[in-house]
Amino acid sequence: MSRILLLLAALMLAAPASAQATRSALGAEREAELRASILAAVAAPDFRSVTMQLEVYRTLKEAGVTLSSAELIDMAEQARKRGLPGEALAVVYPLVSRRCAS
Amino acid sequence: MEHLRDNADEDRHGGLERSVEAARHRNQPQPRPWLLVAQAFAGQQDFERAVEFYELAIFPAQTRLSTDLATRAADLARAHRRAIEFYLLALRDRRYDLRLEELAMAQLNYGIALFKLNRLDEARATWETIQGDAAGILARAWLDIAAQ
Repeated sequence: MSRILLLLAALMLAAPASAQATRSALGAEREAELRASILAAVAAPDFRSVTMQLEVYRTLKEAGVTLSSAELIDMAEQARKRGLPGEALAVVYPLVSRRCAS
Repeated sequence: MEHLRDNADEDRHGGLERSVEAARHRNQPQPRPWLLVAQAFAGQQDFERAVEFYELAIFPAQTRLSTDLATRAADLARAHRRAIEFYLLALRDRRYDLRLEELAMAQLNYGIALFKLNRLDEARATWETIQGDAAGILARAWLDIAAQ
Protein backbone atom coordinates (compact mmCIF):
# COMPACT_ATOMS: atom_id res chain seq x y z
CA MET A 1 0.00 0.00 0.00
CA SER A 2 2.94 2.35 0.66
CA ARG A 3 4.00 1.93 -2.97
CA ILE A 4 0.47 2.75 -4.12
CA LEU A 5 0.53 5.91 -2.03
CA LEU A 6 3.91 6.90 -3.47
CA LEU A 7 2.57 6.34 -6.98
CA LEU A 8 -0.45 8.45 -6.15
CA ALA A 9 1.80 11.16 -4.80
CA ALA A 10 3.73 11.21 -8.07
CA LEU A 11 0.50 11.38 -10.08
CA MET A 12 -0.87 14.19 -7.97
CA LEU A 13 2.30 16.23 -8.13
CA ALA A 14 2.15 15.95 -11.91
CA ALA A 15 -1.45 17.18 -11.96
CA PRO A 16 -2.23 20.89 -12.35
CA ALA A 17 -2.86 22.67 -9.06
CA SER A 18 -6.40 23.60 -10.07
CA ALA A 19 -7.28 19.92 -10.40
CA GLN A 20 -5.80 19.03 -7.03
CA ALA A 21 -7.87 21.02 -4.61
CA THR A 22 -11.46 20.32 -3.75
CA ARG A 23 -13.75 23.31 -3.57
CA SER A 24 -14.39 24.51 -0.05
CA ALA A 25 -17.76 25.80 1.11
CA LEU A 26 -15.96 28.27 3.41
CA GLY A 27 -14.79 31.68 2.31
CA ALA A 28 -11.04 31.95 1.67
CA GLU A 29 -10.50 34.19 4.68
CA ARG A 30 -12.41 31.96 7.10
CA GLU A 31 -10.67 28.89 5.71
CA ALA A 32 -7.22 30.46 6.19
CA GLU A 33 -8.19 31.44 9.73
CA LEU A 34 -9.38 27.91 10.57
CA ARG A 35 -6.34 26.33 8.97
CA ALA A 36 -3.98 28.55 10.99
CA SER A 37 -5.79 27.90 14.26
CA ILE A 38 -5.80 24.11 13.77
CA LEU A 39 -2.21 23.94 12.49
CA ALA A 40 -1.10 25.77 15.64
CA ALA A 41 -1.33 22.31 17.23
CA VAL A 42 1.66 21.20 15.13
CA ALA A 43 3.80 23.94 16.66
CA ALA A 44 2.78 23.06 20.23
CA PRO A 45 5.65 21.78 22.41
CA ASP A 46 3.94 18.47 23.15
CA PHE A 47 2.95 17.72 19.54
CA ARG A 48 3.91 14.19 18.48
CA SER A 49 3.41 13.49 14.79
CA VAL A 50 3.07 9.73 15.27
CA THR A 51 -0.03 10.03 17.43
CA MET A 52 -1.39 13.45 16.42
CA GLN A 53 -0.81 14.17 12.73
CA LEU A 54 -3.84 12.16 11.62
CA GLU A 55 -5.99 14.02 14.17
CA VAL A 56 -4.83 17.33 12.72
CA TYR A 57 -5.89 16.28 9.20
CA ARG A 58 -9.21 14.91 10.45
CA THR A 59 -9.93 18.15 12.29
CA LEU A 60 -9.06 20.24 9.20
CA LYS A 61 -11.38 18.09 7.05
CA GLU A 62 -14.21 18.18 9.54
CA ALA A 63 -13.88 21.97 9.81
CA GLY A 64 -14.31 22.18 6.02
CA VAL A 65 -10.75 23.24 5.24
CA THR A 66 -9.49 22.16 1.82
CA LEU A 67 -6.56 19.76 2.01
CA SER A 68 -3.94 19.72 -0.74
CA SER A 69 -3.23 16.47 -2.57
CA ALA A 70 0.05 16.11 -0.69
CA GLU A 71 -1.79 16.53 2.63
CA LEU A 72 -4.43 13.98 1.60
CA ILE A 73 -1.76 11.47 0.64
CA ASP A 74 0.04 12.02 3.93
CA MET A 75 -3.29 11.67 5.75
CA ALA A 76 -3.84 8.33 4.01
CA GLU A 77 -0.34 7.23 4.96
CA GLN A 78 -0.92 8.20 8.60
CA ALA A 79 -4.21 6.28 8.61
CA ARG A 80 -2.48 3.24 7.11
CA LYS A 81 0.24 3.38 9.77
CA ARG A 82 -2.45 3.48 12.44
CA GLY A 83 -4.01 0.28 11.08
CA LEU A 84 -6.95 2.02 9.43
CA PRO A 85 -6.80 0.88 5.79
CA GLY A 86 -10.45 1.74 5.17
CA GLU A 87 -9.87 5.35 6.14
CA ALA A 88 -6.68 5.45 4.03
CA LEU A 89 -8.59 4.26 0.97
CA ALA A 90 -11.50 6.63 1.60
CA VAL A 91 -9.03 9.53 1.69
CA VAL A 92 -7.15 8.67 -1.52
CA TYR A 93 -10.10 7.41 -3.57
CA PRO A 94 -11.39 10.89 -4.55
CA LEU A 95 -7.88 11.79 -5.70
CA VAL A 96 -7.78 8.78 -7.99
CA SER A 97 -11.29 9.43 -9.37
CA ARG A 98 -10.46 13.08 -10.00
CA ARG A 99 -7.22 12.16 -11.73
CA CYS A 100 -8.97 9.54 -13.88
CA ALA A 101 -11.71 12.02 -14.83
CA SER A 102 -9.28 14.77 -15.86
CA MET B 1 -12.68 -6.40 -16.46
CA GLU B 2 -15.79 -7.06 -14.39
CA HIS B 3 -14.90 -10.74 -14.37
CA LEU B 4 -11.38 -9.99 -13.09
CA ARG B 5 -12.75 -7.74 -10.37
CA ASP B 6 -15.22 -10.45 -9.27
CA ASN B 7 -12.39 -12.96 -9.09
CA ALA B 8 -10.23 -10.56 -7.07
CA ASP B 9 -13.11 -9.90 -4.65
CA GLU B 10 -13.70 -13.60 -4.30
CA ASP B 11 -10.00 -14.26 -3.63
CA ARG B 12 -9.84 -11.51 -1.07
CA HIS B 13 -12.98 -12.70 0.65
CA GLY B 14 -11.79 -16.34 0.58
CA GLY B 15 -8.43 -15.29 2.06
CA LEU B 16 -10.13 -13.39 4.84
CA GLU B 17 -12.42 -16.29 5.68
CA ARG B 18 -9.36 -18.56 5.86
CA SER B 19 -7.64 -16.07 8.22
CA VAL B 20 -10.71 -16.04 10.45
CA GLU B 21 -10.73 -19.82 10.55
CA ALA B 22 -6.99 -19.95 11.28
CA ALA B 23 -7.35 -17.43 14.12
CA ARG B 24 -10.29 -19.35 15.57
CA HIS B 25 -8.46 -22.64 15.25
CA ARG B 26 -5.44 -21.36 17.19
CA ASN B 27 -7.72 -20.36 20.06
CA GLN B 28 -4.89 -18.54 21.78
CA PRO B 29 -4.99 -15.50 24.02
CA GLN B 30 -2.50 -13.49 21.91
CA PRO B 31 -4.38 -10.67 20.26
CA ARG B 32 -2.36 -10.43 17.05
CA PRO B 33 -4.35 -12.87 14.84
CA TRP B 34 -7.62 -11.19 15.89
CA LEU B 35 -6.12 -7.78 15.27
CA LEU B 36 -5.10 -8.73 11.73
CA VAL B 37 -8.55 -10.09 10.97
CA ALA B 38 -10.16 -6.95 12.43
CA GLN B 39 -7.99 -4.77 10.24
CA ALA B 40 -8.83 -6.84 7.18
CA PHE B 41 -12.55 -6.39 7.82
CA ALA B 42 -11.96 -2.68 8.39
CA GLY B 43 -10.28 -2.59 4.98
CA GLN B 44 -13.47 -3.98 3.51
CA GLN B 45 -15.51 -1.32 5.36
CA ASP B 46 -17.23 -4.10 7.31
CA PHE B 47 -17.11 -2.28 10.65
CA GLU B 48 -19.54 -4.56 12.45
CA ARG B 49 -17.24 -7.54 11.98
CA ALA B 50 -14.09 -5.48 12.45
CA VAL B 51 -15.35 -4.36 15.85
CA GLU B 52 -16.27 -7.93 16.73
CA PHE B 53 -12.69 -9.10 16.08
CA TYR B 54 -11.12 -6.10 17.80
CA GLU B 55 -13.15 -7.13 20.82
CA LEU B 56 -11.62 -10.60 20.68
CA ALA B 57 -8.17 -9.01 20.48
CA ILE B 58 -8.70 -6.59 23.33
CA PHE B 59 -10.59 -8.22 26.12
CA PRO B 60 -8.47 -11.31 26.83
CA ALA B 61 -5.21 -9.33 26.74
CA GLN B 62 -5.61 -6.90 29.68
CA THR B 63 -2.11 -5.51 29.23
CA ARG B 64 -0.77 -2.24 27.95
CA LEU B 65 -1.43 -3.69 24.51
CA SER B 66 -5.11 -3.76 25.32
CA THR B 67 -5.07 0.00 25.84
CA ASP B 68 -3.41 0.52 22.48
CA LEU B 69 -5.83 -1.84 20.83
CA ALA B 70 -8.81 -0.26 22.51
CA THR B 71 -7.74 3.12 21.19
CA ARG B 72 -7.25 1.69 17.71
CA ALA B 73 -10.58 -0.10 17.78
CA ALA B 74 -12.32 3.04 18.91
CA ASP B 75 -10.49 5.03 16.27
CA LEU B 76 -11.70 2.62 13.66
CA ALA B 77 -15.26 2.85 14.88
CA ARG B 78 -15.49 6.57 15.63
CA ALA B 79 -19.03 6.86 14.32
CA HIS B 80 -19.97 3.39 15.49
CA ARG B 81 -22.05 2.85 18.61
CA ARG B 82 -19.31 0.63 20.05
CA ALA B 83 -16.67 3.37 19.78
CA ILE B 84 -17.76 4.84 23.11
CA GLU B 85 -17.20 1.55 24.87
CA PHE B 86 -13.73 1.10 23.41
CA TYR B 87 -12.69 4.64 24.28
CA LEU B 88 -13.91 4.17 27.82
CA LEU B 89 -11.82 1.01 28.03
CA ALA B 90 -8.76 2.88 26.74
CA LEU B 91 -9.32 5.72 29.20
CA ARG B 92 -10.10 3.43 32.13
CA ASP B 93 -6.99 1.35 31.48
CA ARG B 94 -4.66 4.30 31.73
CA ARG B 95 -3.15 2.65 34.78
CA TYR B 96 -1.25 0.68 32.11
CA ASP B 97 1.00 3.66 31.59
CA LEU B 98 -1.01 5.50 28.95
CA ARG B 99 1.16 8.49 28.07
CA LEU B 100 -0.31 11.94 28.58
CA GLU B 101 -0.66 12.70 24.88
CA GLU B 102 -2.21 9.27 24.28
CA LEU B 103 -4.72 9.98 27.01
CA ALA B 104 -5.47 13.39 25.48
CA MET B 105 -5.94 11.84 22.02
CA ALA B 106 -8.22 9.15 23.42
CA GLN B 107 -10.27 11.87 25.14
CA LEU B 108 -10.36 13.98 21.97
CA ASN B 109 -11.65 11.02 19.99
CA TYR B 110 -14.04 9.99 22.73
CA GLY B 111 -15.55 13.47 22.37
CA ILE B 112 -15.68 13.08 18.58
CA ALA B 113 -17.44 9.72 18.91
CA LEU B 114 -20.01 11.33 21.24
CA PHE B 115 -20.38 14.24 18.81
CA LYS B 116 -20.96 11.88 15.87
CA LEU B 117 -23.65 10.17 17.90
CA ASN B 118 -25.29 13.57 18.57
CA ARG B 119 -24.46 13.51 22.29
CA LEU B 120 -23.31 17.12 22.07
CA ASP B 121 -23.32 18.12 25.75
CA GLU B 122 -21.20 15.11 26.70
CA ALA B 123 -18.87 15.78 23.76
CA ARG B 124 -18.37 19.40 24.82
CA ALA B 125 -17.78 18.41 28.44
CA THR B 126 -15.15 15.86 27.33
CA TRP B 127 -13.29 18.31 25.09
CA GLU B 128 -13.30 20.98 27.79
CA THR B 129 -11.40 18.73 30.22
CA ILE B 130 -8.56 17.85 27.84
CA GLN B 131 -5.06 18.66 29.11
CA GLY B 132 -2.09 19.31 26.85
CA ASP B 133 -1.17 22.02 24.39
CA ALA B 134 -1.59 20.30 21.02
CA ALA B 135 -4.62 18.27 22.07
CA GLY B 136 -6.12 21.39 23.69
CA ILE B 137 -5.85 23.28 20.38
CA LEU B 138 -7.56 20.45 18.51
CA ALA B 139 -10.23 20.19 21.21
CA ARG B 140 -10.99 23.92 20.84
CA ALA B 141 -11.28 23.43 17.07
CA TRP B 142 -13.81 20.64 17.67
CA LEU B 143 -15.74 22.84 20.10
CA ASP B 144 -15.95 25.40 17.26
CA ILE B 145 -17.05 22.73 14.79
CA ALA B 146 -19.75 21.56 17.20
CA ALA B 147 -20.94 25.15 17.67
CA GLN B 148 -21.46 25.68 13.90
